[in-house]
Amino acid sequence: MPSEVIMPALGMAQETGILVRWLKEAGDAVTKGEPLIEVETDKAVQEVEAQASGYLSALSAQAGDEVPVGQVIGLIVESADAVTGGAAATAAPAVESVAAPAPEPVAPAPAPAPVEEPIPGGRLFASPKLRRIAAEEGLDLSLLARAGHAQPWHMADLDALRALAAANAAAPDQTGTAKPQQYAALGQSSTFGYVAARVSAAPCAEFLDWMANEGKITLPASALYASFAAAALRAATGQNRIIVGLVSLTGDGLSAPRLLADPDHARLSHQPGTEAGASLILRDLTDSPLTALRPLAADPVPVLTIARDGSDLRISLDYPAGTLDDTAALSLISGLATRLAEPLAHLV
Amino acid sequence: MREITLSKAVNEAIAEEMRRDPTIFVIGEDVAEAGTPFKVLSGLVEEFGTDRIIDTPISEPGFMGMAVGAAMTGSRPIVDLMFGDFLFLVMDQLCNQAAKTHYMSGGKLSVPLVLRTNLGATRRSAAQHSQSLHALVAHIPGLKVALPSSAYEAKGLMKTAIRDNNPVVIFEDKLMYQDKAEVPEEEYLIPFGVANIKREGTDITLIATSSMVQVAEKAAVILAAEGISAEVIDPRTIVPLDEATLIASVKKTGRAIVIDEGHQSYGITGEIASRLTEKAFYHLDAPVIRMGAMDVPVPFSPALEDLTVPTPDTVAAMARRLVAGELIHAL
Repeated sequence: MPSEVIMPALGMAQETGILVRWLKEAGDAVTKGEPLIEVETDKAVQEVEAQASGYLSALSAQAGDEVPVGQVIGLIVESADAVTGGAAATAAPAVESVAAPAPEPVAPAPAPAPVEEPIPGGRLFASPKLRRIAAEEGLDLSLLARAGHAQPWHMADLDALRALAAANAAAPDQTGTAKPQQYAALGQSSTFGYVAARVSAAPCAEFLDWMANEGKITLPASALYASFAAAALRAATGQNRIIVGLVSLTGDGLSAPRLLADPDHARLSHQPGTEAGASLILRDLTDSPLTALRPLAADPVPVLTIARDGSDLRISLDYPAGTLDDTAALSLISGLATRLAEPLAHLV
Repeated sequence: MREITLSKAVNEAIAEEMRRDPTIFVIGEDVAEAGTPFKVLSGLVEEFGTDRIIDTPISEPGFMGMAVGAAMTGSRPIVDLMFGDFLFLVMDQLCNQAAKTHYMSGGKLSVPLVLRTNLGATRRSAAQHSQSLHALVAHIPGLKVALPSSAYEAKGLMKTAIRDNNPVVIFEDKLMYQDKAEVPEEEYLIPFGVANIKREGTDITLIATSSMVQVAEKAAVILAAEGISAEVIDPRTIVPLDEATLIASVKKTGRAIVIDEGHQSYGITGEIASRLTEKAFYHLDAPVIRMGAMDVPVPFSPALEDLTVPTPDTVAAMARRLVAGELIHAL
């Protein structure tokens, strides 16, 4: 599976970095740990090491480019045959990848690759004691980063880390990594398109805080997500009536969809329910450590998934063939991303 | 048990030892009739006479040099240095002669000498009479350094210092001379290099010396009311240092603040913090924090002077931040 090369965060408050130069060219063999890029921040120029071994591919940033932290600027692929040339990876600034539906009868859709998550911020700040205990117990500290726990971590975070490790070990199938055959089987009768994006979680969080403090209205974040998803789908497809099936992850697994009628036309504090079938499933994983969840059921509706990824929100869209075309899917995910990035602009 | 002042405890220790050993004498400025400006030695000259309680002219290098020579030749002098700040005047006699003679003579000579002096600010004595300079002498191999934190400690450590066959510098907190503590009538000695766990705790270790032991104990009381359990340890002597007790405590709590009234930079706090970081690194859940006196000459202005030394509130505030897992220093 390809490993993403991202612009790393080398400072606590860094938002962008300047790619000084690639130390390898597309097609070059790369070994994990060897210097791959030089990055300039406002403090220093620093070499950044490759996080995987393979062949450098799909370079999407050039020397001199100023690139947002976390943005994918290339891939490390497993074989030289898989190398593609220059700027192939980004269709839009925030969009990671687009998989077009495979021509139906030819072959089953490939099993979705488990998403190789870069660790937000790169280096992990943990106390020496927590590091030692984590090493003794075989716990992966990066789970805390992926679950969005604020650094630095101390012994007080150990219980959370143990729980994340246990959840990770117990539920690999929920991430789609352990049962690819089911997905492949599904792919024989249906094909899915897939598109994902990453946006900062801060604007929504700030908006909700503002509502709570200034408006004295405490809203669940999912109300915001439902409204924005509906608005983005409406703009992308021109549909008149949009039913959002809101699904959350509880201790028992995924909840039954809570069906909301045109939530983008309703007040955030009161989104009316309905019995009608959903036109869009919205899975809110932001309270869980999961960062991806590919649909197994063949619901003939697009499935949006919102997950927390460090200080970001990761949004992904799985759309079965026949529900959306690629242009509408891109429009939907881009529309949702811009709404999440600027909530106020889309609520007035 | 009876309670006596730190001043009285030191007086008793010296008197008891002088009765036991006729080679012991006291030398310094205003030690006889005046009994020192802090009245610590009052009454000694009446008992032991002016041959053994010797007033000198105002010349610290002079009486220090005489004492070193006397120690090399069979006496056991107790040198009284009126203020710790005057250490600068006796540096050659103390650090180049007393500290090194035993080594340079191949063990043929020894210098059984006690230099008793003081430390401590907030007495409105201005910059030249308020310093805590124990780090200067702790840096020199061949000198032992004791820092009593109460009347009980002062008596037991002074008697051990007098019986040591090598030079010992003992610093009393000049603000604590009138503080009382329980001191037994019967004889006792406190061995060097054995730290005193003043209060047991599980969340954070407060390592404090001399004047700062009381500060740490008060901070621990404040913290206890907030549910934070602080362990307070007094190393008693910084040379030799009881590393094992300090490390064991930090392995238990995972956090430490080192508090000392010397200037923070290049001082005792840095030395102890560094040893803990080297030897208990994988048990630390937070950076080891130094809290010393501010790196300025001690101001004469009372309002400013009080800001220069750690207080129970500033220690408790730092402990709170550590226990909360706050990012202490920018990374």
